[in-house]
Amino acid sequence: MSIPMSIKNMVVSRSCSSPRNTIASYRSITKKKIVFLCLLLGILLITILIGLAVGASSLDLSSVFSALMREDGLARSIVVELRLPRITVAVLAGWGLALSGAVTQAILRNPLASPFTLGVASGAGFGAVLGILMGHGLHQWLIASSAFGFALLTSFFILLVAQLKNVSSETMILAGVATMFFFSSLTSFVQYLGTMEEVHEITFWFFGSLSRAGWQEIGVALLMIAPPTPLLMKWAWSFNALMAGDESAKTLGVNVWRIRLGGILLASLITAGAICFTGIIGFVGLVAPHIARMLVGSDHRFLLPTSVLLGAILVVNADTLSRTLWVPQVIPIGIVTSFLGVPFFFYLLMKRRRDYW
Amino acid sequence: MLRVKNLSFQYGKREILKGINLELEKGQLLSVVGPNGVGKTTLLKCVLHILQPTEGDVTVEGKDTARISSRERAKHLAYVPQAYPFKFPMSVFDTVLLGRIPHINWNPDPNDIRKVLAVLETMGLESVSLHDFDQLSGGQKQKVILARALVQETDYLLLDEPTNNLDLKHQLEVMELLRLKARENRIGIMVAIHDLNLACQFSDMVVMMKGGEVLCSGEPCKVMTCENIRFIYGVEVRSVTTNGNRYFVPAKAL
Repeated sequence: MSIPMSIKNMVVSRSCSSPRNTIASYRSITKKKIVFLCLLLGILLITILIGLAVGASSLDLSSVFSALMREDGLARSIVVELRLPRITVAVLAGWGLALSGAVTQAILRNPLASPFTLGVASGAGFGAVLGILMGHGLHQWLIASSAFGFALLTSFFILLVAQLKNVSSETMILAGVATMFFFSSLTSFVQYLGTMEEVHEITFWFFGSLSRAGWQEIGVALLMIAPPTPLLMKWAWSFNALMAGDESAKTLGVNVWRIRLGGILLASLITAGAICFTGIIGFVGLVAPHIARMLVGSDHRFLLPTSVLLGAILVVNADTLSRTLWVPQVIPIGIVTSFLGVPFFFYLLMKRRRDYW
Repeated sequence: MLRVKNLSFQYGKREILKGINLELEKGQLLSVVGPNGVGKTTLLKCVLHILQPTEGDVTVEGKDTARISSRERAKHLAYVPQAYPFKFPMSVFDTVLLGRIPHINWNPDPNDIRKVLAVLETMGLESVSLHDFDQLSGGQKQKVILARALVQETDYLLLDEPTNNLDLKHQLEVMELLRLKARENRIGIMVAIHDLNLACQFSDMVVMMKGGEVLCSGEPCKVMTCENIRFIYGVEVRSVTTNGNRYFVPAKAL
């Protein structure tokens, strides 16, 4: 089977008869992937600038720049105090969700896996809600560690299901859906017990909102997302080897269980970091790695950074949309990403390719 | 020399392998034959430490393979499994490059790329090297996985039913290639195989298994007799010799 529209295949379709040609094409593909990564980084920066400029009150780019440089003024407070934190949160959330999506897909060898579809995000979400209630407000570390704890719990449950013999990709996702229902009932139950303000706070949070996080929360989230990233990048070859199956990976010198447990642990930490201050932002973790795979192929050395950049671009754009579609209202970002993500998820389900999943 | 000493494997209470002993020299092609479920695949997996043997050990050049890291082991032993469960698209080149994992840290150097290319060339795969693995025919897929094992540059190579699902031409091609690689690169090759005629024609040594044990081992012309085959398979066979090769023709099941 082939993936249409991919950079990879544009080169592939040329026939490579001599070895020198093959080596040259391989090199040029690698070079293209690197150029492509730089391009994505550029797009992300532009997306961020647009996000800083547009909204309830639109600014032009020069005033955005001067607001970033200058000390005071109305533009400064809009750009630096209102928009910059939420866009930073958007970048972190996209980065984290996409990365943990790509890693879980590799670890479970399941193209439908993501923190959202496996229920890990719901677990983390319930943990965060519990943290919010216990701390009566925002006690960042309590919320973060509670979210991480429940994300980890859910991940291990999914890993356990994956160990059962002959579990198909679909069954794993059904287990994820069941987990999602379980945690949403638990969350409803907690809300039922809570006070009016708490219920409001939780409801608002659950839709996915970027407005609540301040720099302190951003610091906590950054600490949960950034350090695991280079570690996961270091395992890129092990993830590649896992594509060939556990047995082949073992004979290629990969410590399969260490990678799988370590990967799940780090992916849970990242997921918790990405959603504990924003609420559940669905589908980014599923969509970003898939688009990345179509663009740069399955080599995780390129797939992981591409997913991260695409995830960040997606969420920043979704945020800009959520602030501009219905001015002066801000649509919760989780609703926007779901509207974009659900059709894509259906597309993946329908366009079931032979041997693809 | 790859030496398997008194190797046993139990799955729950069921004994799959009982006290297997065998030796494989570099440059030799050894075939393991026996009926379905006799433990051929389990034997390969135990030697590779995909499964942990309950008893006995495997040594390579005197080194106990249970005591070295899996990365180190991957420099001595390579594996061609029976099935390849690729779920994501991957190019042929990248698939073969996986074989260099034990030798590279993060970035494959030009040397790795050259080695992959050289193997792809000898196997006639370079014209499809940038195609998706999934687009290939069964025979080509088998060759790609074999190429992956060859670029691993190990001293020993273990293959599980490499000729299964291949047409006549590809069966011969794969077996000829294995014999050539054994001779040229001084690799010890161990093959679990069903086809007795291929085993007899291409092997230097044959191990015949029955009920999780080694019944007999030795040169093919000595151990592959109609009596032995009748004993382990329960099938009456006749042998025919043409061009110096012995072929077995099944007559009837007993």
